[in-house]
Amino acid sequence: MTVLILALAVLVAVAGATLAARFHRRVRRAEQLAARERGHAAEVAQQTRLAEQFVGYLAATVVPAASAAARAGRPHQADLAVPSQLAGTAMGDAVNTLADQVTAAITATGQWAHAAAEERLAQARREAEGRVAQVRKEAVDVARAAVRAFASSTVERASRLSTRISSGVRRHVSDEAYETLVEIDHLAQQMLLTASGYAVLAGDKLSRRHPATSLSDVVRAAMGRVEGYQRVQHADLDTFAVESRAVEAVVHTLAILLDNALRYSPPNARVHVSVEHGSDAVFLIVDDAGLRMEDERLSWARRVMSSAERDDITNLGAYPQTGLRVAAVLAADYGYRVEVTAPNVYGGTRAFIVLPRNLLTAPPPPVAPVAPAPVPSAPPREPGPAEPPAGRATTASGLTVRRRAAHPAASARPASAPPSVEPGRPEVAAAWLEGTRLGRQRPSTHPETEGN
Amino acid sequence: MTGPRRDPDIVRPYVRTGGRVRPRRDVRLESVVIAATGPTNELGPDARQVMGLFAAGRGGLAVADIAAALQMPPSTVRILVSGLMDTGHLASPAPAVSDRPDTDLMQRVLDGLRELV
Repeated sequence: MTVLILALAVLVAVAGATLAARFHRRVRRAEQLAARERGHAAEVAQQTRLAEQFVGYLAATVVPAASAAARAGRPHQADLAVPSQLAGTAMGDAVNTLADQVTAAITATGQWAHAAAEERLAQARREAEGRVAQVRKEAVDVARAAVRAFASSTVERASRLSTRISSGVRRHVSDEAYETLVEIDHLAQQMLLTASGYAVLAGDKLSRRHPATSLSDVVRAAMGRVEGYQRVQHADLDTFAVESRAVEAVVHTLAILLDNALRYSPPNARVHVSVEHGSDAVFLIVDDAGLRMEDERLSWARRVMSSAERDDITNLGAYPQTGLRVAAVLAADYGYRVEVTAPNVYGGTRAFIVLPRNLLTAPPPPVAPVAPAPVPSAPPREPGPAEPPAGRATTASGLTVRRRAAHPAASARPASAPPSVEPGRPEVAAAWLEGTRLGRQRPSTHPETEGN
Repeated sequence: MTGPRRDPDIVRPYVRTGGRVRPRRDVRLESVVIAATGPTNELGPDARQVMGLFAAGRGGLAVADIAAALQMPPSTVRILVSGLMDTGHLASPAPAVSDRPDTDLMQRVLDGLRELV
């Protein structure tokens, strides 16, 4: 019994000890758990504080800076470094995501703002450029209209003057009147050249029209428009004629080239005009013996020739050199070329006009075979009743215009043949001469035959 | 366009005469000239045209006729003709002394006419 009791007591003691130990362990574990919970809570509090600070930084600094940059149209790069203490935590991940979103939003906003600002700038620039172009166009138009009005009125008056001079030269046969009239005529022709040059630069067409004209008359027409034409020498050029539509342009262009050649060569040097026949063009060549054109001026001339700058009227410089520009515009309009080379055989400059075949035609007959055109300013003084009214024309001085008789080919003879083989005629001529000599010894009864 | 024809005024008179403004000789509108001998191929275009009028054997031509045929101003032709006389291409016809009218006869005709009036 005692043993039983003792055994029971031992059993109770062992069970008690075991229970005590287990309880103790459990208590320790609970204490450990509580300590860990406390640490975790502190950590979470710390994380929360950091996150708050970061979000506060985003709200107070980053976003206002980004928005200010966006308003100003500047690109903005935000500095969004997430605090290292948050790395690897859920809070850290969330804050990271937030930071990424904010960065993306800031970048997108910045780009958009920048693009918008660029667009506004480009728009403003386009408007400014448009306005500048508009103002410049208006200025050019005004300048061109002024030059055009002035040039065309000068051209018109000088043309009328020139026509009046032509009829005056036909009417007045006194030496003094003739001398004065041709002097005025020469000045009027030079004035016409300058004025029609400006008219062309201002966009007008040449106003004078001519029938198809032989190259030799084209050259001599051009000579009539320049100072110092006596120094121009030209060979026999009657192989071709220039088509009617291009005559005035070619004459004008040639006058410009002659003027340059005469101007830039010594006052006693001659200027040579010659013609070369190419396979599909005719070259009208002007050679001067002046100083060789400088390379700079030569390349300027070529540049002007190659591009007909029409919008150029306000860009002629302080000392306008219109000649070659006018030549370039005319050449482009009428379909020929103008070229300048240096040096030529005389050590001077060579300028030439390249006339394509379509601007050329056969030369007009050498002498007008009939002279039927009545001069309108001087009708026949005493039209006899037997005369056909339109059959007799008179010159400005009242003399009958004779028609050239048609001679049979057999009677044609060289000009060098002595005239005495025509019996009677020289004697008649001599009698006529003698008669007029006697007649002149009395005062004239027809004062209108003398113009002065 | 009916074909090529000449515009008489496209070449100005002073160019035609090479800048000369007066004839060196007493050449008048009514002066008659005849072609003398001489090559014409070295002449200028206008002088050749003047000589061309004589080519068909016309004998003498008055300066005014030349001007009319070539549609040139008479003074220009006077200067051209004077130049051609200088170079010997044109000449003044020599007056034939035997052809000179008898002054007495003319005087009597004139008197007779006055009696009629």
